[in-house]
Amino acid sequence: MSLERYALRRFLEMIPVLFIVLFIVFLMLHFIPGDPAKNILGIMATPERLEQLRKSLGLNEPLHKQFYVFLTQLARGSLGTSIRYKAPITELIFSRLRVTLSLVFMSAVFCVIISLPLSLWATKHRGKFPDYVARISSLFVFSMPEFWTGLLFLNIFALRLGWFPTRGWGSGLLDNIYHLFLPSFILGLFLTALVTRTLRSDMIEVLQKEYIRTARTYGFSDRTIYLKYVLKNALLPTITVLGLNLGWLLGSSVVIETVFSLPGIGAMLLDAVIVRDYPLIQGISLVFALAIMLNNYIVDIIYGLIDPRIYRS
Amino acid sequence: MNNRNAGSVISRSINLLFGDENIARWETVKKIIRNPNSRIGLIMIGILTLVGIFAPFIAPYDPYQQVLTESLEPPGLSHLFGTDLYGRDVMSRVIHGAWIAVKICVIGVGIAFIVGNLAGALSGYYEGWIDTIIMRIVDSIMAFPFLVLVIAIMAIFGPGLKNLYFAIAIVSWCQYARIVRSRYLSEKEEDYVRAAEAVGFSDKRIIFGHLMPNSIAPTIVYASLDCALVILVAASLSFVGVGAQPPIPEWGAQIAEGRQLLQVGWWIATFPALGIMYTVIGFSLIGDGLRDMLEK
Repeated sequence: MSLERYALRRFLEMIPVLFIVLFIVFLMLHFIPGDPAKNILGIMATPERLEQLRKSLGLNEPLHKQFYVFLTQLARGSLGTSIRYKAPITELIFSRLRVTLSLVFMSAVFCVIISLPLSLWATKHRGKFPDYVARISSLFVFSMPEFWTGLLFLNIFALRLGWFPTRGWGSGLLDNIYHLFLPSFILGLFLTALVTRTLRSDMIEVLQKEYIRTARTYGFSDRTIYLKYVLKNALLPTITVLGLNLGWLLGSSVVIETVFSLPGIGAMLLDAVIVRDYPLIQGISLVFALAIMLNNYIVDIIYGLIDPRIYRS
Repeated sequence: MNNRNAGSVISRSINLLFGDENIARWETVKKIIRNPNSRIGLIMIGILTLVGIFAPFIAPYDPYQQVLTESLEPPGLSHLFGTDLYGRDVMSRVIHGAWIAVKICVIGVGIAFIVGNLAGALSGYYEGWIDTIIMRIVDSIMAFPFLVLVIAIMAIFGPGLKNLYFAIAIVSWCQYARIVRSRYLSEKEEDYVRAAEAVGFSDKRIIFGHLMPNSIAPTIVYASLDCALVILVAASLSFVGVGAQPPIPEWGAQIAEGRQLLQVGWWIATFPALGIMYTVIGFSLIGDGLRDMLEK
């Protein structure tokens, strides 16, 4: 099988999943116990307003027709209108996507900066003190809820020491990076706790390969072996592990954006939950799911590019 | 299935995994205890469970009782962990929170474990269209970020602890189903399954009597890591206000209550956070220890 055919097959495999994802998102509105319109507007709503909302959500139509309308709307690039903001949901999401994506990207950068040296260090001294330090610290970092670490950092570095802004989003690139520093550092730290373990075992595996032994018999220094062979071979798994953890990262962004009052889509999701803006909840969930599906697809293709055995078999 | 059978499924699965089938049950237990990770983890979670079960007897005060004259007292002799804004004893609230943590693991992860094992069994044993349907559903649910889907489910059914267990179970059974399915696919080709089929055992007997004991172990390992994850997810949800609602002494909800008071009363949020860390570390250690043994 060629790479193109592999890519196409993986794409076709995604279609039923996409369909079910759409159906799950569609059903969210219909799983609301009782009358969704009443649930959204509250018990004080007048019958006219209830009827109006039911009509605009299409709730009076039969279910299959509603799903059809949902799909055709989506095909036109519309996710409906937010009840709270009275604006098209796609616009709302796009206006805030930048914040969340920057947060995710910067967290990944922090993760790479911390985890690569850490796991190199742990691998080099495996079974000894640095290895235990790396393992125990990653266990501790993993065990702390992100929002708690967020609150701690916010209180120490922003409120007490005043090194960082306490909330919100800046203007201009540098200011944005400054505002995102603490939140993305925290997410990056957690990601490191997840990634280091995999990275360490991958590096140890590479070290046992024959070409490393060959390199040693040639008398290459440890430095050359670690930087040239081990690190190079470990970069790929790092990217894969990062890719696989994107779902976790996006989920955590919801919490971290709330703690740091960042205007991203995660924070908007919680706002939507609180005011029962169900169309917006549906839209954001769908965007998150699509982002992960796309990401997994790309990771698969990169995997295939690097290791052609995957699609040739 | 009678009691003896149900017990033997687990013990035999552990035996088969960790040694010869005729190794006595306590040998397995000894092995688990000998591993430093799982030993410490088991002790930690054992203590947590006991504290949770006996919370009403251990807690020095009523976790809901407000004594407004004793508001915001720092940790001291009468209140070891201090008091919160309403004068409630933080220690009693943290202790009662342990029971909620235990319930989240037992109910949320328990349901996910059972459903996932059954779904994975159907999928892996029968393959065909049933496998396709189950696995596409699994793929679809796992396309959502765990936390986001749980938040959406909580938005639909409303906040509260009961819905939280339910929401966690809906999302987390998928991973078990995947693990079990892949085990079944390889295990099915083994001679003992072929033999059971040749003798004419019923599907039910092959699945519950032969395949399940041999493929349950990896899901037990995953379950202990899942407990750690689920505790974090539940706390996050309660922290952002869609999980357990105040005044319920759930740890995440307590941190949310202490959030604005960190500068004047650090103890209100810190002790519940330590409770979360303790639990997550305990479950992670058990998971790590079991996994070490699985891989050997």
